Amino acid sequence: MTEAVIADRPSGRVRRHALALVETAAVALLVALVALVLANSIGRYLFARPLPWTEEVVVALLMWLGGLGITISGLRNGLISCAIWTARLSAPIQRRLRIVQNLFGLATMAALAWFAWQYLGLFGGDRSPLIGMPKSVPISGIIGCAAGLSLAFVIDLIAPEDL
Amino acid sequence: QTQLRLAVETTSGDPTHVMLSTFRDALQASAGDQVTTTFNDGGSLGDENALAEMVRVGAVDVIPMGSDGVAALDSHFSVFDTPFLFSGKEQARAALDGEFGDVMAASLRENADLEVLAFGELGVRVISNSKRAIMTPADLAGLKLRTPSSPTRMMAFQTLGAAPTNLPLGEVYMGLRQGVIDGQENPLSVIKEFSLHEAQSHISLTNHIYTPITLVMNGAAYDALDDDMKAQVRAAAEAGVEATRQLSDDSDAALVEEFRAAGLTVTEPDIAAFQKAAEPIRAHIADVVTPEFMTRVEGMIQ
Amino acid sequence: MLGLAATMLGVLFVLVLLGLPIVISLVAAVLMFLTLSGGWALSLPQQVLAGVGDYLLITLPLFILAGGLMNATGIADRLFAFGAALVGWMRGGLAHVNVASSLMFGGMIGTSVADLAGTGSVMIPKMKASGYPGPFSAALTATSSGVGVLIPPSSPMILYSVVTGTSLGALFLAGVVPGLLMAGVMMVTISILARRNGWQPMNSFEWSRVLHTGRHAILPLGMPAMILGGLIFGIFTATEAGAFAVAYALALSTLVYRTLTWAKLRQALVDSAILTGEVLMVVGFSTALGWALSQAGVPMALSAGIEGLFPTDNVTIRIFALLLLALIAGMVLDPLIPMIMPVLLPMLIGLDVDLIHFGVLIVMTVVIGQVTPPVAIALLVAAKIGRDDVWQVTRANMPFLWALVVALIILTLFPALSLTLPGLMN
Ligand code: NA
Ligand code: NA
Repeated sequence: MTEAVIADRPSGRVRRHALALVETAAVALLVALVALVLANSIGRYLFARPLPWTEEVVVALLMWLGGLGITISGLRNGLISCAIWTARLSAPIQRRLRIVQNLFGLATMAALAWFAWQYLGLFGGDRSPLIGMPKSVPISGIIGCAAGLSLAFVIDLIAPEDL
Repeated sequence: QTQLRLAVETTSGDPTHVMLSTFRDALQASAGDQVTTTFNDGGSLGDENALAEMVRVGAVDVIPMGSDGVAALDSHFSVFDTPFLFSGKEQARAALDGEFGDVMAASLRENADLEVLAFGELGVRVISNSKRAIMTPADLAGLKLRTPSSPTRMMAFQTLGAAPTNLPLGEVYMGLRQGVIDGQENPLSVIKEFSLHEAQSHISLTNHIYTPITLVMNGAAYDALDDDMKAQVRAAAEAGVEATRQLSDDSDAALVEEFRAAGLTVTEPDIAAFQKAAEPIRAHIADVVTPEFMTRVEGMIQ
Repeated sequence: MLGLAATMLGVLFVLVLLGLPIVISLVAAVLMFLTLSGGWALSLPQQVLAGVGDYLLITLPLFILAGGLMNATGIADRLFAFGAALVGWMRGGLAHVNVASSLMFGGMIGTSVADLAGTGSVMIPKMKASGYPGPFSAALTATSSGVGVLIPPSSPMILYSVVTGTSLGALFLAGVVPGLLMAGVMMVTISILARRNGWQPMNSFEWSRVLHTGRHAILPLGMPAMILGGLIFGIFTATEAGAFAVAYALALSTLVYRTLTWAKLRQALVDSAILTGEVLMVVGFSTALGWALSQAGVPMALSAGIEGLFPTDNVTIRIFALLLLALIAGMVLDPLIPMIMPVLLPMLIGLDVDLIHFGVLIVMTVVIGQVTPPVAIALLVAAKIGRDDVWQVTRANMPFLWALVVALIILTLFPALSLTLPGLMN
């Protein structure tokens, strides 16, 4: 998969910096999650003492992993999509369509963030049973996803690049 | 005319579903044209956690709560996690019908702005496992026992000598089959629902915890009803209580027969020994619900 | 409400065809529904959280990471060379290996997407490198991952058992033969495609090659052996199996082969985060879409429509009608079982259908639903791994889709295929 998913480094400076930042955060989070799952299973298997709090942390952070991962995808112009029809359009029309797509994506993510924000206000203070992890952690992951993708769309509007 | 949106996660036959559908039918019968209800079941609106959020903001009006979700809204409800708080179903029912029920209802109204219409019955929890018949607390020693991820519930079984483990309920069957866990604790009806008896050889009727079905209504929606409608709603909720208690008795008796016929040993443990071993747990739970509240509750139950 | 649901699906299709990312199209369609239906708008974040808040989903990044590490460090090459020595003499040999690996790997875990992400991230690049068309490789991997939910353990079967009150043990046993049948039907399809497209064998069969490559693959083979053994003997759960797979791949590549560099490790981690991110968000947003359809009463309306179309008392025809209904619902509803079974169950009981048999059939429709647009999570993931166009993968999947439908018909007509094993249990 290494060769398959990853394309070349982008040339745009903003895009490159944004990618480096988000990738580092995602890698750190993923390493932490793997370590937590391993610690839980080692604790349970070797010492008959599972660490149930790790499950609460993992579940709460999954949404953040989703948000960061899809942001990387967005910054690489790699979001899953279907080009069967758009590939047939002429180059100038494709360029214009791309602007419309980015604007539409921005509007959609703004609406998602708005609803997630309201939801955060109502239920963000609810706490998980074992360690009292506030629900604002996973909810803000949705906002993170919306913000990350918005950033990707904005960068692609200002400095479009094919990867 | 009053409009009520009712919702429940489960499907026909489950105690929480019986509670809500009986409530709806009784209300329709008594109030007739004065009330219209919509009824969402089978998780079409979401699971119990989602419904609990919706009832808090008034996106639905009435839901039955049968899980630890209530304790997350109001820590006083952790008092139900005290093992052997009640001597049996009869005492629990009497307490919930009396002052204890009123105090719990007032507490939920104050802490989560939810009006408790009535306390139905989900059931009493028993212990199943694949190692040995559990007669005394000593038999729990070292047993890898699955509990819900509730701190009070885990602490309780740690105190009793078991090694409590968390697994989501959906994974318990495979966990038992593969030996990741030795046993688990749930009402008999849940053991049947999740086929857990197929992976177990012993059931001990410890009845260590009584779990009510808390039928709640959005506080503002309740206040908006006129006095006559409030009375009708409460009466209909009582019909739900009767139905779930009847269901609980019938299904417990039938399930004990069914499990025995399937080759499991179903035993009556030494409850007095368990009550004695559970003494230290009371203090821990008192820390969660405040010692004053614990003392008050015990005064009301005696 | 029904018109609104249809409009929502129409909008979804149009947005996808306009080249918008799947996640954006899903969010926009659900937002449109919520705005126009006047429902509680915060159901969108609520359902997204419900979809993503499942601890079992952590298996996804773990198996993807394990697969990525195996690729980056040459462990996958050793396994692949051994597989080629064993079956490379067959036309389409590697495609058969793909199905067999799903049978083995998917047999150990309960969700097909984790199987797909794990085996797919190894198999799809290798198949493409060996000259198989990309869309075919992705489609094959996507569909064959469905074998795993028929062979126990199986998450959809657990859901079905709870909703219908059937025995989970019997249900698990009932899925074994259908799982093998599905694998068989897929292999037949591969053979036909291999002959029609003139795919040549990779190499001739030689014992020396088998022994040579086998020796090099002994330690890598420890990975599936460890996972399988660990699950059977209760050493760990599916989640933990994923964590140990990562640990094993790390240990092998740093301590034994010494092929892992910091750059490769970071790349594997980033790849895993990207793929996990896409899958998690598609799962979350399609949960919200399924919720919106369910809100609009689509399952009820479909069942009423089927009642009207097939007004007959013949039980087999009625079962086919119900399956047709489940198939249509499965194309758009995700998750299917908790949403459709409350609607179907009263009819099934009325028809006196064997619920274990129907359970196998409905799990099969779940498998089909995962590879049919518009919500085809398995095709999306496979297309992402292979960097192929979603639509081309969908088209390449048509032969396998038909194969699944044939398998479903066979299973419906011959209940003994499902019911013999659980019958022996009693
Ligand atoms: Na499986
Ligand atoms: Na589908």
